[in-house]
Amino acid sequence: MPKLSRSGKAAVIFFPGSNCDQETCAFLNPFYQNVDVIWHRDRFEAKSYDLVVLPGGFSYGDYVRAGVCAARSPAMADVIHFAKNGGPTIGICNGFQILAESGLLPGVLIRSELGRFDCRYVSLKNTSASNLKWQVPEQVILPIANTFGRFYLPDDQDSRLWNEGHVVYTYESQESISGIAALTNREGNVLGMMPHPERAWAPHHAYQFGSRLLPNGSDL
Amino acid sequence: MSQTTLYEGKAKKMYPLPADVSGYPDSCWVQEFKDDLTAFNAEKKSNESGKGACNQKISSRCFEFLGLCGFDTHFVGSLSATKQVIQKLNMSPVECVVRRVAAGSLVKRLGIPQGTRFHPMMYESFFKEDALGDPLMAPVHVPVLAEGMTPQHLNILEVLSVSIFSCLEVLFQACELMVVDGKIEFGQDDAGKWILADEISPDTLRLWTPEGKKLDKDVFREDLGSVVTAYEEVWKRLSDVNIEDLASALKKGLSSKSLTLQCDVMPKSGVLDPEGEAALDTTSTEAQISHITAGKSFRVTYTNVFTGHHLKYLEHMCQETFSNPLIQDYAIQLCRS
Amino acid sequence: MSLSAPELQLISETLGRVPNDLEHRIFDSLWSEHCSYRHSKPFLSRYKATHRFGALGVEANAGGVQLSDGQTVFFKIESHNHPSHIEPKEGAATGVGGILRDIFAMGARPIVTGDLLCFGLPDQDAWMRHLIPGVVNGISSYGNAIGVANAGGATRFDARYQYNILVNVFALGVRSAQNVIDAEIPQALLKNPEDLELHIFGCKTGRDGIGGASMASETFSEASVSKRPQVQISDPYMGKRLLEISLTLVQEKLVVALQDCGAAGLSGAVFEVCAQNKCGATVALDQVPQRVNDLKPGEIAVSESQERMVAVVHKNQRDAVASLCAKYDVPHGVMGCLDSKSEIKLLFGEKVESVLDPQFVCTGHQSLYTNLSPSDAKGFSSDAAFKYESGTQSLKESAEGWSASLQGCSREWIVRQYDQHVGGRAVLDPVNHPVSVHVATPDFAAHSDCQTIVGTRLSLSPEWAEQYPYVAAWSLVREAMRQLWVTGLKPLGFTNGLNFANPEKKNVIKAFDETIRGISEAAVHYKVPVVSGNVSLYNASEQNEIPPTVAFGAVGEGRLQHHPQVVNHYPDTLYVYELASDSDDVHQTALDQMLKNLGEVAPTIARGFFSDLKPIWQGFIRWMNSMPESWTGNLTSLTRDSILKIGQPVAWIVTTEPLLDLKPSNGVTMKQLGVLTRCFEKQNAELKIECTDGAIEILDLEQLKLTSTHTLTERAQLL
Repeated sequence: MPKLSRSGKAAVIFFPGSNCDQETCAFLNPFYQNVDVIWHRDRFEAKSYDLVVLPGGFSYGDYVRAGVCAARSPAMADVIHFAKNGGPTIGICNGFQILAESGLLPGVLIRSELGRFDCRYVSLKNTSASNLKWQVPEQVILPIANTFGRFYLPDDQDSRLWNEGHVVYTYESQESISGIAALTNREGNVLGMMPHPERAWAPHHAYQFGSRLLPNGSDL
Repeated sequence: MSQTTLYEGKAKKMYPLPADVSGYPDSCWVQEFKDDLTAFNAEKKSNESGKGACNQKISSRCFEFLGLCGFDTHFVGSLSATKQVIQKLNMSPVECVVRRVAAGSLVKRLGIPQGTRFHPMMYESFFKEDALGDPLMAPVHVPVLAEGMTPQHLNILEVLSVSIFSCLEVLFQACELMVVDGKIEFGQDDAGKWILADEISPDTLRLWTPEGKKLDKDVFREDLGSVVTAYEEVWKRLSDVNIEDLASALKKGLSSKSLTLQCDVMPKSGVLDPEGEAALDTTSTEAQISHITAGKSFRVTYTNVFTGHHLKYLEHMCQETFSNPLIQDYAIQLCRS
Repeated sequence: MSLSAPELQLISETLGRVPNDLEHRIFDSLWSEHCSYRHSKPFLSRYKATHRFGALGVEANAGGVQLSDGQTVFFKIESHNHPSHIEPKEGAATGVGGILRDIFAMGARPIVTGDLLCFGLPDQDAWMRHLIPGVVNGISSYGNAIGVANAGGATRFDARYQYNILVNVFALGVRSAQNVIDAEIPQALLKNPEDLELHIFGCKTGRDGIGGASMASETFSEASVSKRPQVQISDPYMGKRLLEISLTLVQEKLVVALQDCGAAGLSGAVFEVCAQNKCGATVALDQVPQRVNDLKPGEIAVSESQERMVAVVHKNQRDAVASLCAKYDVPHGVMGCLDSKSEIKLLFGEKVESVLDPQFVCTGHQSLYTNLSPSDAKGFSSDAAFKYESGTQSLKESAEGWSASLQGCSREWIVRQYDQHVGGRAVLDPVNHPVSVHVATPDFAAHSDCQTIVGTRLSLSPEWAEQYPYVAAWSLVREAMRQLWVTGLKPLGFTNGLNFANPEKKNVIKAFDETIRGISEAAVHYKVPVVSGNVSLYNASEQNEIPPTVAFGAVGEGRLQHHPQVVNHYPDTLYVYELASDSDDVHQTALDQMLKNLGEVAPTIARGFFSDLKPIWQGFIRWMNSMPESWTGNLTSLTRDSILKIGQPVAWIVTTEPLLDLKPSNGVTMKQLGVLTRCFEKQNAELKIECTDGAIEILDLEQLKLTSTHTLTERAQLL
């Protein structure tokens, strides 16, 4: 095993119905000294953390709209404050939906082109001119598993996203999936992505690109 | 919807703020209450000195109370015994009539005994036009009668009227009067927000004591005696009510009249609607359905009286949680089932 | 209501009067076939012979085996056939929910689910075309939301299931050594039973599924359409919260016993806990959290509202349990407490609705059915030498026919709707691999060198099981053992879902007996226990009856670093070998031994193909069609008989590196058949095959793959 340098603290917010929290913690463990799980109803000292992660899953059963109920949780007030003050924040899958519903990222995630749940590996391509504050690889292969993963903004606002450096990754020419896969905000400290890096980093996973998407991540 | 610098109706007149009156925003004007009395579509006319002043002070107290309950009203302040300062609005031509008990023209129109109680309250919209005799208005009449208004506006006015009426019931119940029925009117500000306007007085409400004595314009209609005496009685009772405490208690929830509102959420046209498309796919071509849109409905039940504060919060919920304005539209209406 | 006249008579005699509504519902549910295994218990006793090989918790919610790292793995198969035929989405979803609750009721975290489905043919049947996506949607929507990775499974399309589809679901969970719990209460605590309370938590109780347990015990008829309101509604969001609460309760030692509310609702749970622990209880039915306020006591007792658990909690822990439920917004109620009497008193408010003896309620009816035993079942002998011909057409025609058939085509449309990676434990890419492997260590980041892996092999009875039930059953076991071996895993335990038609018919009960005999004898032969299972009978209708169908699961363990390197992007070359045994040992033990050795020493096996259930050639073509990349290759000295027939003592092994220094064991010969090379031009993807009889054929692999991908979606008109 290569030598790992662990530093800093990461927080993973756990909503009722989040189901990727365990592997997200395992994913962060090699790079962060402490990984704390925060219950959605609890307020927390966000500024003492170096990274806040909203994990994947079906928070509140995806009821009403994916991510909307979670976005109104008490802990989100601290997450929003943290993110607005430049704190690195990552939302994965359902976490991306929560970031969009809480206004930290533009747009909304709607039903995919395929129309049903789809689980497979996708190839992503980095758009080199994004605002994202940390380095990420140009091309990655990661698994997706979702129904409501299609990013949407009305056309006039959508083109602004491209011009203003919000788009981090797009899906690379494959069947029945296209468009934006990962997005950042204007300041480049918030990253929302539909694919799951926490399912592609360990030696037993089919691919290991996941850890290179973290702010202080690298190849394991 | 009308906007005039001078307006005179049967019981009131409106005009711009006089030059010597200061301290009020430009968007206001004066509403003056007259002593004239009219009934039966202006067939019966009279005049009683002091009636205007009665209605002004009753109306301002009611509006003050409703403001404390969280409703937006046009009332800014009283200027004199018969004059008050109100916000200029684009008035809606709809008369919103809410009834708890059958009285007046309804008795004959529907053929039901006077005194029949309605649970829940009965709401009707009437189009304000003397020449037509203020006809009953259905949503389908809206585009014909009122340009610029939509059937959805009637739904909003119904929600507002019913909730305002139930707050008025509580107010008058506190001074042992029963609100039998009432007519209210609304206008819109430049932002399109609906605001309670006109007046609330014994001219526009039917008020009965527990013994069944009438203290409203029916005294004039049925020649039951002095109108001003009856109206002063109402004022006396009303002035004894601590409206701040009452509004505060209402906000926390006072009685247990339950109310259910429905918030319908539909995808914006042009946004991908795979559910609607899937539903359309299942229909046969013989059915000749050209389009299906799939949305959802939230029924929100309140078990306490519903005030303006509650409505504002519900609007907030609709915009923030029930619908995402990027891809969905919402509409609130009273739940009828 | 399915209580028979003799049953009603026995109840009335025992109670001293006619049963009231509450009692009638309780007996109707608990004595129905679904709950009491009325017909099958005598036959299932054969499995006891296998338990000595390491079975744990056999009588509990789910059986298990110990892993070498000290953890326990629990697994089970459950059926939800009848409800799924009526309302496919909810029927399948509640099936998944139910089996997951069985797993976490053992204090184990579920990490894998799977499903074995049997449908009729979709071509002319609109209802079947509605059932197929409905069932898949049900499994997918529940499993994905609750967050347990799907290992795949098996799907069969056969006209014999046209009026009775089968939906069997599998789940596996892992429990650490410290967290021990099940429905058995420690003796020390039973000394003061009054200190032990009965709690219920989960969804509020409503009218769902009233009569569901007895529905599962009746055959279908025209009246089935009216059974719709009886199907229960699932809620994976509540299921997930129940999972977290249950695991926390066990970990923090806040509960003494845990039981899921399954068939027969809370009465099933309460009566079984008391019967098992030989104690009594007082239950206040009105204290159960309810969704509507006009439920009768009988309805509360047998309602099958989903997502509910019953727990035995020491009174000192009551507040801790209540606040844990409150944290997750999960309704919770204290509905009674235990006592040392041998009766359960059911109250509704002040009124005592009934007093019943739990032993009588759970087992009283057995006295009526002592006359059915294995030896009673008469029928054909099936130990005769097995010969099953599957045609001697050209290999090319066989490949084309197979790829275009519903049996052999790709199941991608189904499998892509399941989340295979949630939890992060899936090793590599489990899609399309016969054995789905998952990391079982709790904190799989920390010890990536010596992590325990568990592998699951799920399979269905072969099509010919109807004629040869014993051989089919044995073959299921053998094939699973071989798949686990070549994946480098040590087989630990089996589970089975036994789906049969009307047990009152002699041919059915005989096949039932032969099937169980086949599985149990094979299990004893391989020294692996059958730890759990499920029986579903009466899968028949006026029109037809299903063939004997076993949903079989085999679980093995291994070490991550010894797992064969089946990488997602295959290497550029694959080597194909054939192993053949020349001995006439009917159990093919020489070949078994060879495969076991191979798995232990050669970590480069990509695939193994065996002829136990279907011809090797069919398995091989199915695998070629499933690969995302294109290949080209050359295979020589193929013997048609070996690869087109079933039951041959032959195996194919595909490796990622040549097996150079391997010495085959006694009685087994090994030869290399050829090589497959990765090709980057689709049009070059072809396979050249030469048989020992001199025939040479060329297969267009791209065309086969295309056919295979579209067959299911076209024939079932799937979107």
